[in-house]
Amino acid sequence: MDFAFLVDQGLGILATASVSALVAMGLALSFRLMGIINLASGDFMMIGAYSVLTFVAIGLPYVVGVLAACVIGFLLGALTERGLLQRFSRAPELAILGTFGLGIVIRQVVELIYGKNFQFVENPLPGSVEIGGAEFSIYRLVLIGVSVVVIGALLLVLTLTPLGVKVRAVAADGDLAETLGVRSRRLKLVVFAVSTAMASLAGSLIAPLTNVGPGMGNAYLFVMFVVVIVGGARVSMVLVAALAIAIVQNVTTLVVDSLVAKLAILAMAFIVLAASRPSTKGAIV
Amino acid sequence: MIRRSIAVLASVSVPMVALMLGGYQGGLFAQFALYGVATAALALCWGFAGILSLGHAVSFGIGAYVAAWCGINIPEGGTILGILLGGLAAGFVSMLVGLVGLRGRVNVITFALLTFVLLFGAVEVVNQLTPITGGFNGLAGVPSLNLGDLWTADPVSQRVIVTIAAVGLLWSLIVVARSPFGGVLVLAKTHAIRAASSGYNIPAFRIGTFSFAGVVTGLAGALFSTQTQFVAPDQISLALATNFVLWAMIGSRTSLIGSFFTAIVISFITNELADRFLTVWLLAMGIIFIAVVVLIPDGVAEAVLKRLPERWHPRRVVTLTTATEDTSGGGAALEAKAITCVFGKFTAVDDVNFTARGGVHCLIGPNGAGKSTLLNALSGTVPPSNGTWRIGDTDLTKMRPWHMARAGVARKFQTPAIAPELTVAQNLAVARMGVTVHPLALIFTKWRADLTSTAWRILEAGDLVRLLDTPAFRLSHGQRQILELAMTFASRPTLVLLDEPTAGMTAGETASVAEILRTEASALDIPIVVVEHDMALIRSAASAVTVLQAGRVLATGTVEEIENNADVTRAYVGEGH
Repeated sequence: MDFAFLVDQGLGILATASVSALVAMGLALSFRLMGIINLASGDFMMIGAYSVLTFVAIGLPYVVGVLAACVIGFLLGALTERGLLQRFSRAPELAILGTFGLGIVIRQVVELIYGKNFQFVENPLPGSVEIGGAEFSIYRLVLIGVSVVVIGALLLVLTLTPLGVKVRAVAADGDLAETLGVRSRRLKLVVFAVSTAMASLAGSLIAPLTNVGPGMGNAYLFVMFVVVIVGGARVSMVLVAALAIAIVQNVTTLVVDSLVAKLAILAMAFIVLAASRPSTKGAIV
Repeated sequence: MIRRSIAVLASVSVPMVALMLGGYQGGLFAQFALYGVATAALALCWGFAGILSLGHAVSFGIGAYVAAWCGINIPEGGTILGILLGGLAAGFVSMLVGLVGLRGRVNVITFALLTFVLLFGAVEVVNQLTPITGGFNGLAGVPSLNLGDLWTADPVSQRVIVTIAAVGLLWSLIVVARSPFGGVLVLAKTHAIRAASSGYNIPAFRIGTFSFAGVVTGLAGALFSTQTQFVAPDQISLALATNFVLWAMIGSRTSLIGSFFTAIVISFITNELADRFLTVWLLAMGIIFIAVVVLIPDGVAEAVLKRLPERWHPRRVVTLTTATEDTSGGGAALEAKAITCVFGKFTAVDDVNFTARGGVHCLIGPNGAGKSTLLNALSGTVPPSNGTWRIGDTDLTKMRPWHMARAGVARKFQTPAIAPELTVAQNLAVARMGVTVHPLALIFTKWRADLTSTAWRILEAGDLVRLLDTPAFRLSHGQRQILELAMTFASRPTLVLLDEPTAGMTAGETASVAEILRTEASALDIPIVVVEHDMALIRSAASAVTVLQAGRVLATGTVEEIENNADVTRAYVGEGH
């Protein structure tokens, strides 16, 4: 096993991890703040991919498509939170079922507009560079870079600005935070919209690397949700989990095959849940 | 009697429908009845136990594939063996999932996600393990019901037998849901700790229910494969899992019969429309999904029942009697040594030692003094970091709440912990049966319980006796407090732990409760530890008072001693008094 091989695999793992971290971080934030998981996350990724597809098709630069994906994801997320989720602040399981139905609607509307067939987005940055003796696609490097910058920026915002404190306050007790002057409803709206914008961004970034189709989101849901199960609602743990799962997934796929890789990360979710303490405060039921 | 006749009539008429419909429609009816069974099993988990599974199709698919594989590959008796193995395999997988996800405090969302990712994994396995599952093509040529060479079902008897089996499986689910076992699940759904402190091992109840639903769903899936004589990845797909949830939600997850028939009706509609308008149909399904969540989240059956006059669906009548008094026992003291509760860097209770003998022993102290934490520790709901405690010769230190309940420790929580969906009498019966009935026997026992005379006196003091058959959600806050207090005394206790029992009661009710507690404690000679702020109650009932401050014992003594204690005055009103 030479150095170039290791570099190649390492970068591949980073690319996988950075995409799932982008989506899972948004999921973890909304899980922490609102106690819900957006089951339509995969479909928001798909929206991002179709945004790029559409903007590139009408001749605009690729970057415009990516930015548009973020904006569309943000707006649709805000709309979802206002129109659907706000009714269910006391019934999280109904809220996630609402997002589930929303996912079906998004998929079918996209299918009606764009058709069922796979489409392809041309790679805007073809070619590769040599890193440590390994040839690695430039586009993937950019993808890793963009993800790291976005995740880093969000982490900075959460830790260095008052926003982070507000997020923690609302997560602990939304009503109480409201009485202390935190506009928890607006904060939830923004956080959910940011989470869907990140999913949409992730979708726009992977568009050139994959088949773009109405059902493409489901392929990613599995890994995202395992990341959230393993990492929980803590953002830092989710990042660690995303990396760990990318390692297991890529290495197992390389050594055995993709089915065993999927089962391995499924087993990871079960093992982590089984090993974790029944509850944070030691309560029994 | 009328209810029973209607039930029997309905059970017989369902297979009759399968018989009377033509070959094609009748076959579909049998298939959809099995979908109905799986949906009802999901409703039992979701509507009664509060466990939502997004991967319910996994159980159905496991049953279908195991039965199909055995039917094809084992010539003699493989079909029957396969059906049984299919049910067992599905139950086994559900049990594993339950052991991982339902052990401690359950987060509905995390568990739903866990079942969701399990579904994704199962879909991958089915699609890629081609040598066994047939991959995308599935397994064709599954034999219909047969006993080897002896007998093979013709299409008519096949669909009638399948429908009868479906009704039987539905009945097994209904029996569980309507029994006191189901009542425990409903109480645990809203107040798991209350249920645990009534003597029920709640994690085991949940895992058991989820596994049982898995077995029933697996059996339904297994029968399904003999009916369609074909098994495909559809039977373990995201679409089917989605449908189960949607059907249960539309039909009412709290009504197994509603879920069952909704699954059948919608399946027929889908069958008519889906092929013709596939894309639009899926879009419509998504919109319906959202509309149901928003507009009728409780489902059609609940919405209909709400509008029907009450005599059309009378509440379950519970037989409540008075227990024969057992005057032995009592006289044991609670001795707690070095109880310490640390949460992270915060020490809520710090090295508390105290002894409570027969009588009302009040725990007082400023807010945040650690009173409720101490009570939680003593009742085993939040185990302390350190310390030991015993009642008489019984060491309570390592006991779980349900073991404590069976050892005679009774607990009341600060906010009334009752099951709003059950009637007052059902709440009382559930509170009593945790000590008297074996958990599995709960499924087969009648709703019948004998309460202590103390419980009856509490109910009389709160004027609740005339409301026994009222659903508890109609009670006021004060009435709920009375109800939970009566539930605490449903069985004869050896130690009672009460957290602000009279908050929200009227002055009259408080006075009656104080009187009852005082006479109870002295008549039975048992310690009743009460966290209380109400000085009137403390003066009239307490035989001893312990003052906590910042997690430590500040003083212990009689009411008089405490009232004249300078340290205590200082703790409450500050310096200079």
